[in-house]
Amino acid sequence: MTRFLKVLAVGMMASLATLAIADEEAAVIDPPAAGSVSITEGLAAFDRVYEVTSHPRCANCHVGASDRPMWSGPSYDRTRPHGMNVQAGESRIGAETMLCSTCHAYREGLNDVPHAAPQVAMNWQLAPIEADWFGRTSDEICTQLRDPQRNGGRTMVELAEHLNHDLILHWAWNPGGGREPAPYSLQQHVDDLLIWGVAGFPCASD
Amino acid sequence: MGRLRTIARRTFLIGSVAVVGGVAFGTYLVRRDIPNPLEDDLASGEATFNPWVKIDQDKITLITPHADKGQGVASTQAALIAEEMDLEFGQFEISFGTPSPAYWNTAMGAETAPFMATDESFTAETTRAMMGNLMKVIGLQGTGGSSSMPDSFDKLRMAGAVARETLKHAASQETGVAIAELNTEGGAVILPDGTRIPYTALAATAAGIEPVQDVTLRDPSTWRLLGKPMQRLDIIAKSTGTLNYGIDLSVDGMVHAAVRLDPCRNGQIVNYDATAAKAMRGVTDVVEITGGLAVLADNTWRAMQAANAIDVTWGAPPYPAEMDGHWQALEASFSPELLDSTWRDEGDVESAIAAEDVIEAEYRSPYVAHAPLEPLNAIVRVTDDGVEVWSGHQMPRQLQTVVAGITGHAEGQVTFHNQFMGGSFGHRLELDYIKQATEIANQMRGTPIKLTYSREEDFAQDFPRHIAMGRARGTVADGQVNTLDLSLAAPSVIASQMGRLGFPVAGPDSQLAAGAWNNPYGIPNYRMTAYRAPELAPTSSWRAVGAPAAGFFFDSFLDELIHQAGADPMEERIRLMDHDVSRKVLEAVADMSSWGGELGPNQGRGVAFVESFGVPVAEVVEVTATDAGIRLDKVWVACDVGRVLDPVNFENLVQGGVIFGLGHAINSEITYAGGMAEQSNYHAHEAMRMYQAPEIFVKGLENGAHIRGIGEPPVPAAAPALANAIFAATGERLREMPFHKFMDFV
Repeated sequence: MTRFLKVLAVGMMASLATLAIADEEAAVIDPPAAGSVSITEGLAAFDRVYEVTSHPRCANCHVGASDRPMWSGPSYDRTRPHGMNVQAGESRIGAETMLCSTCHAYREGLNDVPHAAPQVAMNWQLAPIEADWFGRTSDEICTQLRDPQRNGGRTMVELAEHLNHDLILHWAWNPGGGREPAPYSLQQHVDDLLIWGVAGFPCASD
Repeated sequence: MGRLRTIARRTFLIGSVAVVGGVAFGTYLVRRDIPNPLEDDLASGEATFNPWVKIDQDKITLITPHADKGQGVASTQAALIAEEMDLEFGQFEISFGTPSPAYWNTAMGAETAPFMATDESFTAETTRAMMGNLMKVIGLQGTGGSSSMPDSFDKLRMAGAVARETLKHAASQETGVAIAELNTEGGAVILPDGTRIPYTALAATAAGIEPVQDVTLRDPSTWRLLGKPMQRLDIIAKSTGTLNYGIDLSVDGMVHAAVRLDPCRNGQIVNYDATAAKAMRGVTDVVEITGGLAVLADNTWRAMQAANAIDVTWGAPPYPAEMDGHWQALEASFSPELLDSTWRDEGDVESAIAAEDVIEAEYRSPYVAHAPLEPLNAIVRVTDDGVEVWSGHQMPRQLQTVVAGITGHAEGQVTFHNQFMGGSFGHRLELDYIKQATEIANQMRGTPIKLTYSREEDFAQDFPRHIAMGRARGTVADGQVNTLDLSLAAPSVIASQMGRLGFPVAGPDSQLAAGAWNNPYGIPNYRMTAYRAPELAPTSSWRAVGAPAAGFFFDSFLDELIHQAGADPMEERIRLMDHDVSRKVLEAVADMSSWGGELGPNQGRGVAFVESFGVPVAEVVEVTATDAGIRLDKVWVACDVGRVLDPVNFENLVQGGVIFGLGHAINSEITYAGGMAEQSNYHAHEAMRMYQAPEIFVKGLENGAHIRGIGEPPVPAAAPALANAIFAATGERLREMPFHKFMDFV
């Protein structure tokens, strides 16, 4: 295949992927009215947010400067670094000579084979170093997530929209291959994030 | 004296095999010549001199009947013949040949004789010779027990020399030149005037000559090939992906099959529903076979997917469904009625233990899978006239027997085409996959069936390495090890394995505690007792068989005693060593590793020595305890095989064995839940990762009196050397494999 055709094919697959979200999986962003959520309700919502963020489907790629994605959770018999000695590199998309997408390439439909590389997003990559969640407590993630320095300067709604845009995040609730999905649902998670935001981003240590 | 008394009480496992087989073990049977199988289909003008060499006008074919599982034995067998025949690599083809009693393994029996390899007494040597004769009588053709080189070394060089001298005889007959004036070189007979007559041109004449048996072997000082690095015959094909393994083969008209077998290994289907599977694309049929079901389809993938889609309820396992039950069975086996044998009892253990402070420890070694990279597979075609089988197998004649038993043909009607194997580690000593493929093909006579296991089925149906438990007591005195009393409980691998072949076995199992009873240490009070646990999950020979478990127990505990004595781990082992060849191995590894030299921060070194299949092996492992876990830095290995035939292949085999031993010690365990193996694939039973692999330095010594094989012996010392190194670096003593349960490795 010529390079042109390759680029074309990749572009088409990317469009298909985007369409898939737009049509089927996007969550509705509908925050509660300002002032309608108590701190207690906000903290309860964050407890659920923490269940999601600390779940292996999410936390495995939210690693920090170690640059090594993790394998943990019920699909693995023990917690350990990703087995292929992958390094995320500065780009976080894989050491620049071997991208995450070398194995985690896009393919239509889920890869339902257990223990084969999940293949759903074009841009499989690690979360930014600032979003280092792996093994962290609820309170640590809470303060991290509301800190503009570490959340990409996002508002509550922008955090929710971010969840809507990223295919990898959608995959977390529908991972296939016998993998345990993240708890609740994308919609519930977006709702909880918004409830927490409307309550003023309370954290247990406040 | 003690030794003779001990032996008189023992019967030999293999001995009872012969009795059950109804074999009269007489002088005639030992001395008789076994027909050369190459004569069966010899065409006019083709010459064969013995079962290993065939020549026609076009080519020279060397038969290399030992199975090649990646260890490179096909090349080395060919080199042994080629050395004596004055052939260069490239001047001949190789073939695994046909199953035949002519390829009986002279060396496989020696290991079953209950003598330490270091025992070269008259009784020991006579018994070994007797075991070798027995192998001939029963015509046991097999690859295993690191016996290929001990079996081949003299025999194949002799085969080459016989061919060479017979070809010279033929040249003399054709030219009238006296044999004494003829030489051979590069696949040709050389006349005094320099004329070269290629062997192929002599085939027709040689075919009419009785092979010359009175030959002299080349002196090793004149070897051209042996003892030097050789390019393996399979290496280009393997490197370019063009070598055909069994899994790559196809036969015209072949139908693909996958199996869904009882993961509890009781063969009991309570009920099943194959409706969904039968409706899947490409699926032609679902049939019942012994132990489960088989799906037939137009390709392997579809057959496997459909096999997974069958809804089956299986019966209960014939062993404890949960792991606790397995370990409890071992704990209960340290009892007098389950005593298998007291293999060593030197000094006075009881008095020594009563007199001194006793150090005690308990060790565990788990089930581990063979998990060869190439999953089990076979192609079988059954017709009314005969059966053809294409597969990789280590016991060709047993294969013929079971196939013939299923189809009702005579054994001679079963043609077996042995293949290069993508690993085995003992798995391809088993015959189940051959039986299943044959059962399917027998239901569809005329159609070739290709059975391929999925990786998951390969794991589920494996007969893993046995579990074992060790209980050790010991004492130290005056800075020295004084007493080592090791008891081991494990089910008998040999009984499980031989039982499936239909051979009941009797007597103690020398493999049960191999690696613990046969180390040639002169510890003042030394007792090694093996208890035979009841059979639990079905097990099979795994690379180095008994020694990876028992050697781990023995050497780890010796290290604990040495630490307690305040002695140096290397110096104390050397001091205790009672066998010159073995002592030199320890001294060599100390020298190679600069034992006693400076270590970096958080670094530690451990040494272990385990003798396996007659090969003394000493390994030093160097590790660093980092914040992220233990890093394996370097490994040094010294061993003695009597003679190294190919230094490069030798080094590779040792390095591979060390990686195999370390990787499994760190990562691997098969556990049962609900009677089924919980680990279904490599993700849960990992090999060592490339980035985790240490640098490995190898030295092969040549002081031993006998030539030995190196496929298995590097494995057992790896785990204790690593555990001892971790102790040196961290102060933490690991007494149970896999080690990753207790710490991380980076």
